[in-house]
Amino acid sequence: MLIGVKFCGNCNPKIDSMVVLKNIAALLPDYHFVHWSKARDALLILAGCTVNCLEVPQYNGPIILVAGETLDLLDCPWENLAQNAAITIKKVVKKQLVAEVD
Amino acid sequence: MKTGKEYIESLRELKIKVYAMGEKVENIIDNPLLKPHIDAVALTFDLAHNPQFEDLVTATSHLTGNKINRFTHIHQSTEDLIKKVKMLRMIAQRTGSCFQRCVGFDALNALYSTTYEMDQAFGTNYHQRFVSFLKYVQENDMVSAGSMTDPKGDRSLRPSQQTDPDQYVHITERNQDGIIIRGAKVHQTGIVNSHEMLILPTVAMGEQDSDFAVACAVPTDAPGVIHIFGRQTNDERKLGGDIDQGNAKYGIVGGEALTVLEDVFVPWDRVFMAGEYQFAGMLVERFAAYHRQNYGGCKGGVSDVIIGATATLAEYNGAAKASHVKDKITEMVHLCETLYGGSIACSAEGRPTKSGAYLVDLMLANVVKHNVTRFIYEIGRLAHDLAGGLIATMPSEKDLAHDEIGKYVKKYLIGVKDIPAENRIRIARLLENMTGGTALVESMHGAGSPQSQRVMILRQANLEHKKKLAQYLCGIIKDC
Repeated sequence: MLIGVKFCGNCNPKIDSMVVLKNIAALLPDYHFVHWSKARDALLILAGCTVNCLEVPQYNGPIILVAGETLDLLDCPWENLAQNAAITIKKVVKKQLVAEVD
Repeated sequence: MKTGKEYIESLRELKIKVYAMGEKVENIIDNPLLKPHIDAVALTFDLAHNPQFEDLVTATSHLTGNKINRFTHIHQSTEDLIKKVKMLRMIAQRTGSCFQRCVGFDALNALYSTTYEMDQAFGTNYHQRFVSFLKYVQENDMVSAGSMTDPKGDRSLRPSQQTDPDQYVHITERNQDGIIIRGAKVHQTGIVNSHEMLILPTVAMGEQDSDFAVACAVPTDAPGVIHIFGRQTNDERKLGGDIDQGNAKYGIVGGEALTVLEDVFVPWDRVFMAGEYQFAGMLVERFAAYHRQNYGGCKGGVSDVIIGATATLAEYNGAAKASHVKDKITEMVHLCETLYGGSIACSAEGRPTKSGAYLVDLMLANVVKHNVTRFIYEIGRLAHDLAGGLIATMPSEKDLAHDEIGKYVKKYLIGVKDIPAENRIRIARLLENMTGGTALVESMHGAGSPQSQRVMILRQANLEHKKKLAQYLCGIIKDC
């Protein structure tokens, strides 16, 4: 699985996006996390704070948004962020595959 | 886009004439007085290649559609203006110092919209020339210095009234190939490590000043250009050691210089204003507004570091839990975020110009810079309050490392027991570097002195409206 990653510019990092990404990657060893321009199966947005001011690239597949201590706009404490994001990524990628098969 | 390394290598190719401390600098790259400033600019290149920061540090050129370093971009939206502020804050958090590149960025943007409107008024072709130059800057990822401030001589006299006309840069000759300019520019941030200088007028002009209404691009190593590097507080500390510098990597402020222009030839394709005095004021006003916009960004980022250093030192001193310490840290954060809020606000309230480029709200941009002339001093004062006298009395790093007396420095400059004295000295030296002398004066006068902001604030104040509001409420007038 190729998951594109886009970071915000990190002017106000309430979370350490790199640590989140490393932890997600450790939880999903079969997934490859690449530059957002090479996204294939999903796009992971990692924003340092909830302002989430980054420019979201045009992408037709599923998008997972981590912005500060939120996951897809719902509050998510730091200690659960990577784990919940990993679960979400697996879920949306699976859903996407099923949709493609159908 | 260049990398930091490629930027530094590109400087080696310049034949730039720089003097510092009474000597000609033969190698600007490796000179210890200049190197920290060069490294700060180099970071603006490296961050553009880092996925964690590229969303702020890159943009899409409206001219070519190519990905470019944001420092060469023309703002196409209020979002662009906001991203500029966020980028500046983020970079300043990493340098703790000026990274210089915003001045040329602002000059590019001011020239873009002003040349467009000048051409509309006079049928000239300055904008087309400027766009060609801009493409060159974007495609080659150039660093441009924004060269606005003239020496100004007797401040009570207009440029054309000066006994010595060289107190303002002016055109001494026009021929079929170009113009020849003469004079000087002062406080030139980052100019000794820039590729180009963008000459702008420093004040609004009248008809009698038309020879002084000049804007053009000049390579920093053009024949007749001489740079005399300015001194900074404690600059000789750059000549040896690193702890005593406080910020050995990036130095203090922008590495300013006095730049002399001794009959410098500028070909017409690099001339963007030559006598159109009616537009000098617009160019000055727009450049100043863009530049004042920056200060809640970069000084916000610098203040983030000062606050972090102060909080760290309070911990090292064992005082972090005291209520007055927490309260003063809170006040520092409040001041910092107020500055940042002003910069975001003037960007969000920006507007398109006729050229399509976006301009910040002039009132709010001037307000934020005016606040910087006060709040940075207050942030520095609170940092000094919490740091204690240590930052003014510490022994040197040579004493710390000394065979005989080093043990005393380590013993008596310790705070809480688990933190070595060297760490306490390092953080205190960083605070000394960032809150005194040159660093403070830059906050006062960079992007214009306080009075220049007050002039703009009153001009934008819509006082008549305010008077009507009051007169209506108390019954003097019936409608408002």
